[in-house]
Amino acid sequence: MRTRIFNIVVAVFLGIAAVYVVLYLRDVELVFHDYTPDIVTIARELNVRNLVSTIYLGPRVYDTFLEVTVVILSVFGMKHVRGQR
Amino acid sequence: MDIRDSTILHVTLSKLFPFVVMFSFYVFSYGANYPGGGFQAGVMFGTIIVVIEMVFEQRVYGDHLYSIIEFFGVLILAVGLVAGFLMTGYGFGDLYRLVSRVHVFSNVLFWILNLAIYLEVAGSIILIFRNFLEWGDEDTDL
Repeated sequence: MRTRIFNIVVAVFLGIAAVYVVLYLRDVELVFHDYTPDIVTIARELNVRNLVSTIYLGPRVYDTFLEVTVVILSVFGMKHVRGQR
Repeated sequence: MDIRDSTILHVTLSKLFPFVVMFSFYVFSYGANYPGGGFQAGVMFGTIIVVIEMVFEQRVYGDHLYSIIEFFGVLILAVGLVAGFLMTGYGFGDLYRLVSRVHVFSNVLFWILNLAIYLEVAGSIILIFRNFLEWGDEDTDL
């Protein structure tokens, strides 16, 4: 029962993602930026010295959040696959 | 002789354990100013727990504890994200302005984010490897 619910949730999620990609992202205009943000200035404003941390917890913090979500999903995935065997 | 029976391995791991845990705290705490961060520190903590479990063949606390640790990590990230949205309309918002002169808290939000990632990654690494190990044992039993 639990496995079935999990499968349905995953199917719904993937369905929504597919619809979003097909319907809403087809007319997205690609913009090539000819500049890079001044990371050193951002680091000074945030009072941080590690430039790598400045990037992944600063302008790219959403990426970091999603990467963390991927790790959690891998735990759920492993438990799910083991439960099916 | 199995490598897991090695006295050298047992003694070294038991003596190293507190230092590795302390170093992982250091790596995530000072992640904003020195090389390191929550992810590396979490992997460090997770690895020492996994190695100890493999060598001593016993669990260091149950899955439930690590699930809670993992959950708290995600909760901290989600609360920061939502709080930022409510305050300023974008993720983590003005929390970035919480700075101090104390070196470890030079930017308070960075410390909190590193802590959240540390907890999340440490819990996940342990749970993933436990699943792999138990999976392997199940296959051997078949």
